Amino acid sequence: MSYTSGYLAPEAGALLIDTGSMNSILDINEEDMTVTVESGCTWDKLQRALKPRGLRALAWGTLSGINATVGGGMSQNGVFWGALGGTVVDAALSFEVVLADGTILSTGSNFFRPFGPDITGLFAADCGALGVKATITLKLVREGTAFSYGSFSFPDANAFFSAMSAIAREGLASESFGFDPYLQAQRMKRDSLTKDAKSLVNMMKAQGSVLKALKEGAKVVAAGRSFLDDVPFSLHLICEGRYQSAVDADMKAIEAIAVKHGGKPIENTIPKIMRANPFPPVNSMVGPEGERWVPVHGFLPHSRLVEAWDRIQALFEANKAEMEAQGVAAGAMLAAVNRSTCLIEPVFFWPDALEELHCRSLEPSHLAKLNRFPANATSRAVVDRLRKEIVRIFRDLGATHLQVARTYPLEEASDPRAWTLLRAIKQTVDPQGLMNPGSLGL
Amino acid sequence: MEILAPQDDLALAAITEAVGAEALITDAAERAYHSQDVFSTGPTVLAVFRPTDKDMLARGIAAATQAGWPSSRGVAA
Repeated sequence: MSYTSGYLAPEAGALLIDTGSMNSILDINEEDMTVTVESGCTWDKLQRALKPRGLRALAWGTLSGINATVGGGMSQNGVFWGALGGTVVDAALSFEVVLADGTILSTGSNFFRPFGPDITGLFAADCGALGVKATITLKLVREGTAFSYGSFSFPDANAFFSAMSAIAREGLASESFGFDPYLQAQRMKRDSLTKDAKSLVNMMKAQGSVLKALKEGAKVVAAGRSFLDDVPFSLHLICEGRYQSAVDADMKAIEAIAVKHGGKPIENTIPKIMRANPFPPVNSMVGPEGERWVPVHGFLPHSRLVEAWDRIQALFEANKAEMEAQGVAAGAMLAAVNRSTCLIEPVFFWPDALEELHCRSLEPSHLAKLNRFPANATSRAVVDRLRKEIVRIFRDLGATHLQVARTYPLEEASDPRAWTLLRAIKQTVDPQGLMNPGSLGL
Repeated sequence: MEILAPQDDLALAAITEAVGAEALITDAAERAYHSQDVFSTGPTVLAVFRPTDKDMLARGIAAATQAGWPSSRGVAA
């Protein structure tokens, strides 16, 4: 699944390859700590196979992993679960890639990378411009046996970013993500009671013992959701490790950092429920009222986060009247990735018709409850323009992106010599320019 | 079903011979569905190729590119 035209051909009459039927897990090698899958295997399927063995991939998928495939992740890149270990392509060891002429290229060793220049890295995040991945070998790690969860409220963006960055620099959390006030309010509207009950049971099951399950379950129910009323920015963190005393100590250290930067501890229901339900139904690909939804994102070093945030908010302020008139609203998801980088992901909501893609992706029971809006080209054009202006802001600040596809300006961001090299590689593996033409700007 | 242009007919025949008709979806509604992503709708694809293994994937791509057919990578739809 893409929202950056990752697989939309520039002209009619293309052949679309759907690797969804190539979804086998070919080998779980517990001795060498690697796993090999066909590219159409979903992150959800992989996690279900690895979890009973106490294993996971180094980075183990995106929240959309119920549909999103390992191959899609390797080509488009993504980040969420295991973000301390990097984006999903950081988990890759090797690929088998079908090139334009139908030959199969192996990118190298299936246990070590790089052996010489990084050919696996060359095909990672290529957005399908260089070939089609057939198989993927990933690094395995032991899944943690002890977890600690924390949530904090922050009064403003400055406090939020300074705390998220300080925690990331210490490498304390396996996942660290947050919501701005608008997105948080949207989340509160979205979740239904029945969904909560199902998620709650999964969370209780994940606690290890019946006693702990009952205790944690009771805490979540008692907390309800009122703890998120009037919370401006929220940050949610998970510590994953081997010993409860160690992850609890790490969470104490996180709390000290959060409090120092103006944060206030709140109930930790959100990270606890999410870790136990890592790949929920993708109902959040539309707004809570059935509006259309689309994100745009940028990765930045800690030093440029606040400037990016302020410029994006200034853009929204300058367009406030038009956004309000057209029913366009915007929130943001924020996350830390490894020790040096954070993600800013503004998301737009606007009243517009759902397409077949949305209707098939949502749970039917959820779809049935939604409003259906008529097609709305005017609001959509506002979103399209604002999204492009945010890409410009990110470009000014030297941001990087996942899912480059046909949306982010890779050539403009590249050293001209590096771009020439990339074009030469494209020419070598796809001399007629037939493989996903236009993707990456190639 | 739309009427295919003659060159499309040839390309479709070549790939069908390489991978078998069961691996190809040519139904108009399905082609339209596979020509959308979460934000945009693109030009309609001519067919959707659903290989069941690595060798079929390779055979299909070889047949398509020999027929001069732009292939657009699709992830799980």
